[in-house]
Amino acid sequence: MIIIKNLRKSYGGHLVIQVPDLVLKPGIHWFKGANGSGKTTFFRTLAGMLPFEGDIQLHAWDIRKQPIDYRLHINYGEAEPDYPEFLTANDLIQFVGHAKKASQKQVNQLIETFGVHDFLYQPTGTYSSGMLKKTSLILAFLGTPKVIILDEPLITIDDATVQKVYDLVSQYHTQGVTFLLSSHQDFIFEKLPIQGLYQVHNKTIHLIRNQQ
Amino acid sequence: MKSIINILRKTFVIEYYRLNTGFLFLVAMFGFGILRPEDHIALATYAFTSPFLLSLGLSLWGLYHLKVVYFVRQRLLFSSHEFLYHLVTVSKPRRWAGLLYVHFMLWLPVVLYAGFVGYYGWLFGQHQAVIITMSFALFLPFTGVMAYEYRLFHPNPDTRLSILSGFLNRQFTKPYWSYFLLYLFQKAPILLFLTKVFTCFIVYGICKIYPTDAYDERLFSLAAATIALSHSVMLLHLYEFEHLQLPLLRNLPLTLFQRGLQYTILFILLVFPESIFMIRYHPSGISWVYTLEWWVLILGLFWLIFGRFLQQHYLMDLLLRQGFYAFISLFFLIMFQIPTFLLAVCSLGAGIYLFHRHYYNSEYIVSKDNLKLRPEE
Repeated sequence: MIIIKNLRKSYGGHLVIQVPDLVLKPGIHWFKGANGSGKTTFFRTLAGMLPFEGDIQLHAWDIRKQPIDYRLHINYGEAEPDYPEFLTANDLIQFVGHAKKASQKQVNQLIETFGVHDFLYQPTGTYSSGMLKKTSLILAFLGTPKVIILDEPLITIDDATVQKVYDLVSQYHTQGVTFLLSSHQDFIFEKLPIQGLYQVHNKTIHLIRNQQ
Repeated sequence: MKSIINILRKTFVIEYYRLNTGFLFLVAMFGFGILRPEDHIALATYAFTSPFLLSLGLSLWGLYHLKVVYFVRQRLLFSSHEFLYHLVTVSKPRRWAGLLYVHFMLWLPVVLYAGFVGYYGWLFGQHQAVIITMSFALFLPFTGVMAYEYRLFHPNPDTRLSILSGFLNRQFTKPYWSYFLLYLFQKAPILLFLTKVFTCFIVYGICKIYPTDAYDERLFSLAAATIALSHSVMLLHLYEFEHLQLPLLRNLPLTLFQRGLQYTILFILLVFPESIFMIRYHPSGISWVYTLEWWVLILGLFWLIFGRFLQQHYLMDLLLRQGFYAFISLFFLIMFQIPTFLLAVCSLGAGIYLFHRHYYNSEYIVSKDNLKLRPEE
């Protein structure tokens, strides 16, 4: 469960998003919103990547008081990943995997699932956008997170990989992992049991539908 | 044809010289800084009479040729350069002329040097050796054309990896502290080169002038301040690099101690060349204990500068202004004989304090335009 209170995120005094009170229960949550509405800023803030005002708590871990436990249990997949071009997917996966305490077995399974073995040792500067996206999705599933945030997880990847993302989200969800997703495309509801649907609009987040 | 040449010039020739200014400057410094023009003429004349020396010189040019070929073939792998694969639709003579133009322009320093020494070789009657040399300089570009032609017709991304880098990437996973060093070598080589030449020259200079007059240790402390502040732009690059290209770092469950340790390793590596110069030219009148304090002062100032970046997002003009004030402050502290040990501990302590307090609050604001309202808002 994620508890957000009095969250305000500004850039240089310019308010981007504020969330007075929001509780995200375990499940899969879909955040919709126009370009520039603040979805990515909200996600990055939750992932501990941006400073903010207010309080965020994941289970018993406060983002400021228990920064290590909090970050160990929340993962983030970028919408448009961009890595230093001289690093290989293997460099990134091993580095993040070590930090997130992922087992080598899990690392190998994810590499196999997303089929990145062919370019694992190539510098990311030679990657297509789909290859970069696959790398970022692997990073997002590493370790034993309680929450995985996937920003536009279905863009730039082929249909077979889209199916694998659905399968992985379903599999992790049955293991108790909460997902926060954003997408301009409609998710296939039969494949993903979306519990909460939210609209990011007017610098805040509105609950549209709650399935629970 | 004019449009093809124009595109090739912008995508390869200008880029090559922009990225290799430091390298060519270094070669020119070594080549023409150490040897006078008459030495070059004498060396060329001697080389033309000695097959061994001649083959050695041609081998060096061969290495430069490989560097040029590698550069162009690597550029053809970039997604931003994929449009150049349309060249396969151009007629072969035009395509080859374009590719020959590219290689010849990148190969120009060698051709000019070969022309310079060849002229004097010819004057001294070494006609056969001069013909061999000039043929070598004019023939090699054609092998470059073949290499580019092959890449244009074999644009398979999965087989592009060079055998050596592929082997190294399979054998070793890059440690985190190496990321920024690789960034400097690849993205900011001129900054790296000029900073290191300047700071190593300072270390060499103070070590040489120290025994010549009644200087004391303050000379070295002032040098430490200059060396550290000369790295301000490099540390700004570190701050930008992590915020823009590795934002995922702040999502990782690493303690501040672990992160701080990685930065310390990085700073030690950054100051490694100056440390080597200090050890190599260490004056006998300076104690090794003081040398250690001097080294810690540089590291402490690195920490302080980096901590300030985390505390406040700097723009370059503000950075230069602050750097000036910082140097004036350090100058007076050092001249008033504040112990180097105290300065080192204070700067290190202040830097680590700023890091601890501001690491998670640090935020990169790309430009003031980001603060304006966006159309949809």
